[in-house]
Amino acid sequence: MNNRLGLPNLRLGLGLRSQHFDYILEHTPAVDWFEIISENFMDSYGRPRHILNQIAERYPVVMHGVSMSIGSTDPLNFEYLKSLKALAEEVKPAWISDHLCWTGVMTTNSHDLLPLPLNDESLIHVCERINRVQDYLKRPLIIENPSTYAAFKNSTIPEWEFLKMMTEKTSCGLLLDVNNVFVSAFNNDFDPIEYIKGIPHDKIVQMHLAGHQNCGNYIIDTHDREVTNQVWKLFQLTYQLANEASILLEWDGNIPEFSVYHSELLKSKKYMDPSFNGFENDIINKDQKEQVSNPLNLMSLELDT
Amino acid sequence: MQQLLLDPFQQTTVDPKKFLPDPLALDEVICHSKKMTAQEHLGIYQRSYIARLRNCMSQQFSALEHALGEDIFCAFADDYLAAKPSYNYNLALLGKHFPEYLELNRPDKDEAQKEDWIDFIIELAKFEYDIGVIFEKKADEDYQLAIEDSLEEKLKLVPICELFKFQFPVRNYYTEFKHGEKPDLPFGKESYCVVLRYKFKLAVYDIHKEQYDFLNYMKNGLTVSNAKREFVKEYKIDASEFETIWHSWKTRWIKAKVFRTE
Repeated sequence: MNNRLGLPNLRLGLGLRSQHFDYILEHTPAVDWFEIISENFMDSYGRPRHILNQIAERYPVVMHGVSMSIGSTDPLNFEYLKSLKALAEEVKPAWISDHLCWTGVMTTNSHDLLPLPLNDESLIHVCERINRVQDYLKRPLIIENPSTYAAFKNSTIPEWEFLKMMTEKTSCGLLLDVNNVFVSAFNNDFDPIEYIKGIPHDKIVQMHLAGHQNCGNYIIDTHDREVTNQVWKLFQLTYQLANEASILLEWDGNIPEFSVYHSELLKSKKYMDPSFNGFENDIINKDQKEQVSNPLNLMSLELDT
Repeated sequence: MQQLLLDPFQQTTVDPKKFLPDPLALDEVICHSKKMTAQEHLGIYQRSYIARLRNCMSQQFSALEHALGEDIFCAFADDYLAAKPSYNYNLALLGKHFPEYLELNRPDKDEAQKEDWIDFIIELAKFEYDIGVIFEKKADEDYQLAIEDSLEEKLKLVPICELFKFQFPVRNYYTEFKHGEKPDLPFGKESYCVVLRYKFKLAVYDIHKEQYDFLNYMKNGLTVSNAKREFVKEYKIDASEFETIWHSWKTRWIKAKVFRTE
């Protein structure tokens, strides 16, 4: 199968987290590529950006954003896009991605990935904005399905069909977050398998995997633990349909040491085999307290005293 | 939806219900599911919004959170976030106005006699925010550090050399906390420190008032010799007597990477 939009298959990657900076620079671990949260570096001129530049010399890097707010009714924020483009010129990412969502209106930023009503009107609105962003960045934009905790009464198009039409109208690519499909399906009563089968597989440039918290009646996309067996099985199906997509494991809360994070990613190799039955032990949610959904873009700083 | 998310407890004057087609009918906008009502679906976003931003405030102001205790810190943070929601994609700016907010909303604002601990938390909040700014600041990193033998007339402050003056031992409290200790609220005591960044890493050192004043002359563009001249004039001391003091300062500051030569 051809590479999506002419973009390479980077194979297996990890999210770049400040907790692992020193380890990566010292050991140059055998990870195929890293994904950064763009906003963590766009306006930073300190150590994080300095380290990012060193890592970008050694590994392919992808820029993943959380604040483009492509679905908002506010005008596109060209100050944001200017800073994003400047970072891209420096880091030279394989691609730039963001989410099918809005983060705020009337210039407010909720720092959350809020769901859109999915209908003809919002499709036109989003496609027009994607085209403008692609023109400005001079590259295809890769759009991710967000995890959602609510759906709108005036939504008339299933999300997978919305994504299909969106890619047809804009030539953008897709970042399929398999965990998000599972989370959204559970929260909003749709069939995740119908979703996976319904999306345009030839437009999937990248996939995300992550852990979630099952709170009983709903699931939170927490990125703070291992991937559940159910999500791995959904990934197994997806991979059979879109096996040229690059794979990335996200981990943003309770971030473990690098070797643990990496070994979780490597489980994906097992699930690329359609005959693999899966690991027996699943993740058990021991915590009672509801955790915060991720990603969250805030870096920690180090201090010598 | 945004108003319902950002201000679920109606701390601002905007009534979110006016954005709904029917004041009572959230069900007209958001779907219920097999397991949850429309309000329960929305509630996930509402809880997540405040928890996420509280978490960011707590990371940006971790020493302050220790000083206030989690509950009081959360109360201040929640009020601040309701009064000043974020307008920028950069979360590092989230707490930009928090020190000012604490100042304007200090619990003793209507009292004639002000409480010391409140002055301390405002100073600490300002310092924690400024440390974050210094960490991310754009600055020249490609320069030659001074060595003991460097010519004195060539000495300049390194590009990131920020001076702080406090009414409380803020630096001491902050670094004790960052080293995993649990410092008690301090008594008032004037203190000074310098924050340096070298090869993208921050270092914080205590200095005393005279050193603060001397470095401040250099920060304002004076050369070493002009700073010395101003200093002896200000402190009314003999220039040769100061030379001995200066020599020990210079040795210590060169070791601490305060000076560069080009």
